[in-house]
Amino acid sequence: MNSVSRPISTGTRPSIWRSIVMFLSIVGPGIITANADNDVGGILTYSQAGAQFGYSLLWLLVPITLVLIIVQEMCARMGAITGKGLADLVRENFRVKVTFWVLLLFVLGDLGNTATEFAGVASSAPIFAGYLPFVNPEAFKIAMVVGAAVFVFTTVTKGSYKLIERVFFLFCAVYVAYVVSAVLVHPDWHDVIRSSFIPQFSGSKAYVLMIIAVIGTTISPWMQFYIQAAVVDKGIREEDYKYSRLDVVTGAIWTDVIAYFIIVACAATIYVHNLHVPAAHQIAVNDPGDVAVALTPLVGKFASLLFALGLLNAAIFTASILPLSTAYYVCEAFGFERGVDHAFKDAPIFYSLYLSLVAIGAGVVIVPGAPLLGIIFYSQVANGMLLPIVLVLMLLLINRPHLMGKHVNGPILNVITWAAVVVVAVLTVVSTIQGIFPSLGSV
Amino acid sequence: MKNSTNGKKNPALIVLAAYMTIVAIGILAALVNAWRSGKILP
Repeated sequence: MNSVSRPISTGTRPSIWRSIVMFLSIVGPGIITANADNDVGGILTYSQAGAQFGYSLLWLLVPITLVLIIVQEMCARMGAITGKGLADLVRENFRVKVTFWVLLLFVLGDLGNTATEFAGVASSAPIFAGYLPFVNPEAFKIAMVVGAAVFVFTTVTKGSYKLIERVFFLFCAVYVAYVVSAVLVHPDWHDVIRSSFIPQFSGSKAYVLMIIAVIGTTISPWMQFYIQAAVVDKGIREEDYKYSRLDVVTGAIWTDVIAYFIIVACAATIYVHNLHVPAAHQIAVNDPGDVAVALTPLVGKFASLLFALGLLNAAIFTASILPLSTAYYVCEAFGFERGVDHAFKDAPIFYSLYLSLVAIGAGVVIVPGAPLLGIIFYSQVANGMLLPIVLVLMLLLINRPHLMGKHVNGPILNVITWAAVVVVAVLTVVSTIQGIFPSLGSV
Repeated sequence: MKNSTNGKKNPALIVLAAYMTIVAIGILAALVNAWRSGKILP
C-alpha cells in the first residue's frame, strides 16, 4: 500500500474499449480482497458448515452475498470520494477515545485472524510431511510456520509483496477444485437448490455460532479497512468509480460462489457419509485435514495434498495482506508514519505492530497441542460479533453529506445494512446468552 | 457520536460500549464452554 498510480480520466463518454481498459487498470482491490476472504478461516468455516449441517446453511449465502456487495461497495465509494482510509475517517469524525477502543478490538480480532492464517500453515504441514521420508511431523510443522512467517515478513518489507501477491492470486484458481469436486460427487441438486432459497433455522447453540462464524468469515471487519485503503492507494477517483464498483461486485460474487461449492462439496461427502454409517465410523472433523475428504471425488488419494496446497496458498496470501493492513490502518488513524517504503527508524510503530502481529500469530500456533481448529473457528466467530461495530461506523460516515456529497447512501442501502447490523447484533446477544446459560442452546 | 463538550454521555457511545462488552462476554463464554465440554467445535 505504498504506490499510487492514478488512472487517467477525461470525463467524456468512454468507448467500450476504453471502458475495458479502464476496468483492467482499476481492477484489483475488489478481487484481491475477495480472494483474501477465501482464507484459511473461510475454507475451514465453510467446510465445517457443510460437514456439520449439510446443505441447511446454503440459504445464508444469498443474503450474505447481497450484504457483502453492499458493504464492500460502501467502503470502496468512501475511499474514492474522500480519498481517505476508513480508520482515518473514524478518527476525524469521532472522538480519539472511541477510535482507540474500537481499533483495539479490531486489532485483537486481527491478531486472531493472523493466527488463523498460520494455523492453516501448521495444519497443512502434517499432510506434506506424510509425503516426505524421515521427517518428524512436529518439527516440520514448526519449521513451516516459522518459514512462512519469515517469508511473509521479508517479502512484504522488501517491497516485493505486490509481485508475490499476484503469484498467490493466480494460485487461487485452486479453489475451482471445490466447484468441480462438488459436481463430481453428485449431490442431490433438488435438495441443494431448495436449501439455497428456503431458509432453515435452528435455535441450537452450535447452529447460531456457526451462522455468526459464516457471516464473520465472509464479511470480515478487516476487509473493509483493507478495501478502502486499497482504493485510496490505487488513486481511484469519483469519475472512475463505476469501474471500481464492477470490480467489487465481481469479487464479492466470486468469493461466495466458491464458499457455496465448498459447503456443497463437504455436505455431499462428509455430512451424507455420516448420515449413513454408525457413529464409530463417522468422519469427525477434528483437524483441518479431515475436510480434505470433500476433494476425494476429484483427485482421489491426492485430495489431502491438493487441500494442503490450497490451504497453504490461502494462508500465505492472506498472511501477507492482513497484518500489513492492520498496521497500516492503526497508524493511519493515529497519524504515525506508515508504509513499507519507510525504513524501520522512520516508521517504528508501523513496523513494530506489523512484526508483533506476525510473530504472535505464528508463535501461538507452534505451541505444542495448540487447538488449531479452535483458533480458526473462534476467530471467525469474533469477526462476526465485531461486524456490527464497523458497519455502524461506516453507516454514520457514509451518510454525512459534508464527507460524501451526493454520494451518500440511498434509503435501500441504508435499510439493508441496518438490517444486517440488527440481525448480527441479535445473533450475538442470543449466542452470548446461550454461552452463559448453556441449557438454553441445547435444542 | 459528535464530540460532547458539556460532559453528557452520548447515547450512541453507551450503546457501543454495551455491545462491545457483550461481544467480549460472548467470545469468552463460547471459549469457556468449548474448554469445559472438551469439544473444540460446538
